[in-house]
Amino acid sequence: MKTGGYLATVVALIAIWFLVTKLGWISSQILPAPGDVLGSVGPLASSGELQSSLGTTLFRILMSFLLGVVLGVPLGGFAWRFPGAGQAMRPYLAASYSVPLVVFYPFFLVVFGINDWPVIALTTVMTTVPVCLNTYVGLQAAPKVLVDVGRSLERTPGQIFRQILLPSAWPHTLAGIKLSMVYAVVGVIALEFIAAQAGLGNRIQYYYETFDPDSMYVFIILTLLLAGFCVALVVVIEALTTHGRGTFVMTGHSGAVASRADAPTTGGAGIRAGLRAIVIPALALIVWYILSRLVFVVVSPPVAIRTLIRDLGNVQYLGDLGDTLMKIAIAFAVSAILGTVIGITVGLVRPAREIFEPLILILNGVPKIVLYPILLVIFGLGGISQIIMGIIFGTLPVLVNVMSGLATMRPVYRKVARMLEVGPMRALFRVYLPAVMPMLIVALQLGFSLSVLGVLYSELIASRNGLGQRIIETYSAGIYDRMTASVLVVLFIALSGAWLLHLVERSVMRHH
Amino acid sequence: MPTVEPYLAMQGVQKSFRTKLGSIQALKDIDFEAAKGSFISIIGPSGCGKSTLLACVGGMDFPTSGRIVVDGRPVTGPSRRLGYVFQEESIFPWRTALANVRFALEGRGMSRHDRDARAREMLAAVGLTGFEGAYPAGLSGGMKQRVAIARVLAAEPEVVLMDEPFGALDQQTRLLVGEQVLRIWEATHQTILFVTHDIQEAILLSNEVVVLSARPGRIIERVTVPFPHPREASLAGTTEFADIAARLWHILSGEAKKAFIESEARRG
Repeated sequence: MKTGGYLATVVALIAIWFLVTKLGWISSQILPAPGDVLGSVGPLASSGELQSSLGTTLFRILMSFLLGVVLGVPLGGFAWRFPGAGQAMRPYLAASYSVPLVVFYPFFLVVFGINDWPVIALTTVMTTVPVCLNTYVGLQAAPKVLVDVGRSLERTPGQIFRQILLPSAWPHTLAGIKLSMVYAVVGVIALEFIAAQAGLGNRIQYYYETFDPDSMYVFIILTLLLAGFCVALVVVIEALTTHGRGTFVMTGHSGAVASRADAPTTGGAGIRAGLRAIVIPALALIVWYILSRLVFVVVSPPVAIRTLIRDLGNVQYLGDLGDTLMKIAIAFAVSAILGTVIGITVGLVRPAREIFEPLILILNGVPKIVLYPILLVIFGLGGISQIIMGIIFGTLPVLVNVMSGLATMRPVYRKVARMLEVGPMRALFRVYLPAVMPMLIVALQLGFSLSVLGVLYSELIASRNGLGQRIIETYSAGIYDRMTASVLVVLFIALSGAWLLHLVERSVMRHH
Repeated sequence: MPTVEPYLAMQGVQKSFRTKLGSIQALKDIDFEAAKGSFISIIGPSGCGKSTLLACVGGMDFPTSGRIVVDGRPVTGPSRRLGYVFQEESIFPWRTALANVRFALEGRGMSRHDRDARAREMLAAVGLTGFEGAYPAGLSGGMKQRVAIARVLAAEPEVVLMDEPFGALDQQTRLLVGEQVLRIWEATHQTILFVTHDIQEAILLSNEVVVLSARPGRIIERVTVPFPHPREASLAGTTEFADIAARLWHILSGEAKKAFIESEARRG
């Protein structure tokens, strides 16, 4: 039934593709006919371009994924072993979900040059975080009694860690590994779009720029297939390592596991907590300063601040800042409303759920960045393309979380509503929405981060205005102080938005 | 005249915990001796420190003062000779029933074949033949606890410590698993210390019931259970059984009330 639903959805999508191109409803510049796309596979394959792009991208994805796992597990173990360090690291690791790490890409490009490594290095940062956080949480959640079993059977601390704690944390780690694979795919493809010397993302962008939609679609479809293959790979790992274990940590959407409980907390617990809270920022500042002495592309903190102040006095710069802020605001508002409404509809209306759930889950799993060139063909380089990208990025997590929130809502609430003969509208606003409120808030936080990401990604790839475009422009021109200043502004926007939503969460969740 | 050292001895055992509100005494002046092969139940009101006492015997926790000796050697920490059956679910969800039992035998220089054979034997002893390849997710609560018991027995401990091992099971399962433990004891005569809050269970299983007071836990009564083995659950219907139960209930209810009032007072 489950696989049947997915299969039916894919078949339906292909049928619709046939139909609309056959009937001529859509220009072949926007959506070429399946036959034409298939026709350009031959030449691309015989020149070897297809295979080499696929190989390059697969190599980058697997490297970033493996490095993320290899680094993330020991880091998670370290955070667990030294709880002080763990507590200090945790909120910042979690906050890294709300930062569009992609804005650091230009630094990596300058340091590594345009080759595989800037892509792999930055994507590895993205893939390490979920593995590390989840391993840490999993180790903390390991039942004490299992450790006691090891103690009573005279196992050494090392044996207890290997034979008991790590296997006990494995479901959490595995959830992190799954996210890590999703990030590896999304990260590599997106960075290839921005600037890379080869790879599937780079090819899509290239054929967009040379007005060859047939070839562009070949690579878009190839990318989607590769993404599916990578996800299947993790499913195989899961199946091989968890046979029969039954109970499993499922993650509704990327980040949902860690984002809520881990958002940076304020106030409370005294001087020690206060010290702990400033240790990491202080360290970051020191590392930044040292890096600025070692690597010419990184300007020192005072220089960055001076440049920032100068830039903010410039009317044109403020215009770009305003553009980006407006795009993010619109994208987030639309994502929040659209995601909630569709999520509730699909979550509560059974026929809608059966038809759309597979489609939504498929869309949720694919690197949506591949749609950007299509948007560019339709809407051009103006703001609309980036806003729509932000909406596409932001809506899905909201939708998925609201949907799964309703699916996991305690059935007794529904029964109570029916027993008391509450009308449907009243039930919606007085029962269902409050019941899914915790999930909805997580959803909105994710939605915001991803709207920011969608807008920033697309501004970095190709745009007429906005901060992302500024970053790329200053990178190309080698004006690194201004590039750094713009990166700071983006980080500030992302973090202050996440912070505001965190405050909302705290006031709403007082009684939960 | 040479004194014969008892098999299991607790001498002047005290235990106190430091909390925010100051020090709380959990155990007070526990002096106790048991012969090899005895099956002793420890009962007492909630929070009287009976689990703490067991943890001290098992080396999982340490008394603040006093000492505990098993077979002539003082207890200094967790040890294979002190088998521990925990109240919570303690079998590893990532290992099959057989592999869980085998865990007790790994790293002892046994061949894999011998380990498997021994683990199978232990599973058979708790009536789980046919479930060797099953993962815990597919086992009921009672079965999981029996796997845990088999794992402890596989290590061939000198003393088996059971901390409310049936606490999470329903009434019928409790009875059945209890009977199984009884059969194993009748066959092996291993020394068992059994913590429970169920008077019937304590009488049915053990040769002696030790009653602890409300906190700080002291031994306030030791009641010998005279019924011969093999015992059946139908024993619970006899008048002698009822007499012992009534006596224990009488002692315990006073203590339980004290404990209850204290805990309510702390909440309020």
